[in-house]
Amino acid sequence: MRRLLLLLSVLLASFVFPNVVLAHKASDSFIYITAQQIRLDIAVQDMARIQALDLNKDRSVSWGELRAAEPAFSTLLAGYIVLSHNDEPCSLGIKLEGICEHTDGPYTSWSLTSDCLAHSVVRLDYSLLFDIDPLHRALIVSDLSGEKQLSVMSPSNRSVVLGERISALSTAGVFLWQGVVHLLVGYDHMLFLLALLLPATRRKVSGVEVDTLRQVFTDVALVITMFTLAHSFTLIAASLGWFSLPSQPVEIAIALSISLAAAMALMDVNVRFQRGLAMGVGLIHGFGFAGVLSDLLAASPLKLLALGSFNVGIELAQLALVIIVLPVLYRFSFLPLYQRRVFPLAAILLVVSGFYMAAQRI
Amino acid sequence: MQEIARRCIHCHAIFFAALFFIIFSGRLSADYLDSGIGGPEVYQPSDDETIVFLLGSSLAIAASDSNSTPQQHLDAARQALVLFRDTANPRFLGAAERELAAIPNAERSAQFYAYRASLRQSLHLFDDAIADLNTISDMKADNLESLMMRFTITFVTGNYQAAGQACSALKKYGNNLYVASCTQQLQAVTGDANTAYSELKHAMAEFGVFGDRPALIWASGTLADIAERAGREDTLGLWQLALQLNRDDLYTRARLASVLLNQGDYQQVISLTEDYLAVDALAVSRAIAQQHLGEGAALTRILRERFDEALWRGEIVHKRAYAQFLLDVQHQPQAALAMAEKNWEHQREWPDVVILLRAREAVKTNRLVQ
Repeated sequence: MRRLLLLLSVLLASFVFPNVVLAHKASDSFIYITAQQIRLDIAVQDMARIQALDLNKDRSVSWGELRAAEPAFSTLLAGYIVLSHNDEPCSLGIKLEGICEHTDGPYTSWSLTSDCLAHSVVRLDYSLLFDIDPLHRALIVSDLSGEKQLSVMSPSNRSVVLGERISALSTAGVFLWQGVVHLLVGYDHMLFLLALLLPATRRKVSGVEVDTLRQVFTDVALVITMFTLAHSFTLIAASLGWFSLPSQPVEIAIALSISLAAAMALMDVNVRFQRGLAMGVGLIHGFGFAGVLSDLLAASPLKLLALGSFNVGIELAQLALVIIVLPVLYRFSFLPLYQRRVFPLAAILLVVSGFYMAAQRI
Repeated sequence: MQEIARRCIHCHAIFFAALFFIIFSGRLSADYLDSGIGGPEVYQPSDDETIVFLLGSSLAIAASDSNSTPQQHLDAARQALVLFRDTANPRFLGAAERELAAIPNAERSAQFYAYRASLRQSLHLFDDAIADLNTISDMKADNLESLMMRFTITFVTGNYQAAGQACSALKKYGNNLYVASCTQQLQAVTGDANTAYSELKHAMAEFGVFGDRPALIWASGTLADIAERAGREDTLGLWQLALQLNRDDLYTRARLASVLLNQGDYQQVISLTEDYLAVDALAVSRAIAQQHLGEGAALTRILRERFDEALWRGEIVHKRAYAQFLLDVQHQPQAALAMAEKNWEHQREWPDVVILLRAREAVKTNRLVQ
C-alpha cells in the first residue's frame, strides 16, 4: 500500500501520502520503577525536540553537550514528572546517569530518587513531550506492588498509581460480570443455550410418564454444566498458549453448533447424548471465549482468579437463564400447539440461524 | 433427592474437570510470575567529545510556536508528513497531529481532512481515514488525490466494491494508466490474475515509456504485484524494474526482498536490506536471510525487543512483519498464525494472504510432527 502512496506523493505535489506499512518505532520513553529509584530512559532525539542540545552547531550531539544540558533538563523534567504520596508531591533528585541503547538508537538514562518510593503506594504524573508529540508514550514497568506492573502513559492517561495491589475481590467481580455480560450480549451463545433447552420441553408419546419440572431442570442444568466445564478447559488451555485454533474456523464451528444442537432437538435424542454434544461443542466455544477475553486478561495480573471468575459468571448467567426460561417453556410444553407447531418451528429457526451465521463468517 | 443424587454420578466428571482447572491455573500463575524489571545497560562515554547522536532532520520537527493561522498549521502538518514519508520516523506523525489539532473546527477545510486522512491512514486507522474522506465527499471537494487514497484504503482492507467505485470515479480525471492499474489490480483479486496481467501490460505498452513517469512507476509496481499473485516467473524481474524506477520506495524494496527470500537468494536479501534496519519489514527479511546463512543473532534480539516494546505500547502496527518474524525467525507457527489472522482483519494485500496461508500450513505441519 505504501508504494501507491509514495508514488502519489511524487505525482501530486500538493498532497502528501506518507509511509504506512514500514515506518519504524514511535516515540517512547521508558520508566523502570523499583523501591530504590525511578529510572527514566528518554531518546536523545526526543530530548533534542524539547531542548537545544547541539551547542557547537555541528549537527550532532556529543556526551559533553548532554552533560552540559543536564542542569536545565533536570529542571525541565521536574516540571513534567511528578511523584506524589497521599496527594502530597514528593521531592525528586534527578541525575543524568549515562547512555543506553534501545532498539531505535541512543537514549539518555536518568535516575529519579525520592523518599516517597519507600511508601507502598505512590502516584506518578507524566506529561513530558505530550504537547509536542501527541503520539508519544511513556512505557512504565514497576515492581512496587511486589508484582511486575506494566502501564502506558499517554496524553489521555497522564497519571498512574503504583504499588497498589489489585484487589482479588475487584478482579473476581469484574471477570464474573464479564462472564454474565458475555452470555447476555453473545447472541450465538444464547441461541446455543436455547437449542440445548428445547429438548427438555418436548413431550414424549402419550402414555409415557411426564417428567416433573425438577427432573427437567436437573437434566438441563447438568447438560449446561458439562458445556461450561468443557469450554473452561479450552479457554484455560488457549489462555496458557498450550494450543489454539484459528479464529475463523472456530467462529464458523460455533455457528454450526447451534444448527447441530437444534437438529438434535428435532431428532429427539436422549439426554446422555445431549450431554456429550454439550461437552464436545463446549470445547470449541472455549476457543471463541479465549479470543474475546485475551485483551482483558492480558491487563490483569490475577489471571487464575480472572479465568475462574469468568467461567463462574457464564455458568451463573446460564443457570439464571434456565431458571427464568425453563418454567415458562415447561408450562407451554403441555399445549398441543406448542408440540405441533412452536417446538418444530423454533428448532428449524435455530438450525437456519446457525447456518446463516456460519455463512456470514466465511 | 435420590433422583438428583443418581444423576449426579456424573459429577465425577465435574471433579476431574475442576482438578484440571486448578492444575492449569497453577501453571498460568507460574508463567506469569517469571518477572523482573530493568532496562538495557547504562554506560558513560569515555570522553566528552564522543558523538552520541547525529541530529539529521530531528530538529525540524520541534514545535513551531510561531504558527498561528490555520494555513500555517496546515503547511507545518504537510511538512511533517513529507518528512515522515522521507524518513519513516513516526515522530513526524506526532508533529502532524499536533499541527492539525491546533486548527479549530470552524476553520477545517477539505485540505485539512485530506491531511488528516493521510495521517490516520499512516497510523492504520483506516475507518477514521475513510470518515475524513467521506467528509471531503460531503463537501463536494473530491479530487484525484482523495479518490486515489480511497481506492488504496478500500483495496488494502479488502472492500473491493468500494475500491471499484473509487476506481470508476477516477475515470473522469483522464489518466488512463492509473485507471487501468486500479481496474486490473481489482481484476487480479476478484477475477483472473493472468488476464489482469496481460491487460495491464497491454495498457502500459500503449501508454509508452515516455509518458507520465509517476503513472508508469505506479503501473510497474502494480504489474509486479499482479505477476506475483499469478505466480508468474517474471515476478522477480518486475519488482527489480519497479525498484529501479523508484529507488527510495521502501515498499517495493520490501516486496523484492520477500521474493528473493522465497527464491533462497539470501545474499541478495542481505545487500538489498543494508542500511534499512529501522524498517520492520526489511529488517525481518534480513533476519530471515541471516538465519539461513547461520548468523543474525543480534538482529533477531533487536527485533524481538522492538516487537515486545510495540506490544507493551499496545500498538503492533506492522502485524504482517511481526507474523513473519514469529513464523520464520522465532519458529512459533501458532503465534504467527494468531498475528497473521489479526493482520488479515484489517489488511488484505497479497503478502497478507501469503503469510496467513504459510502460518496455517506451518501449524498443520507442526501438529502432524507432534
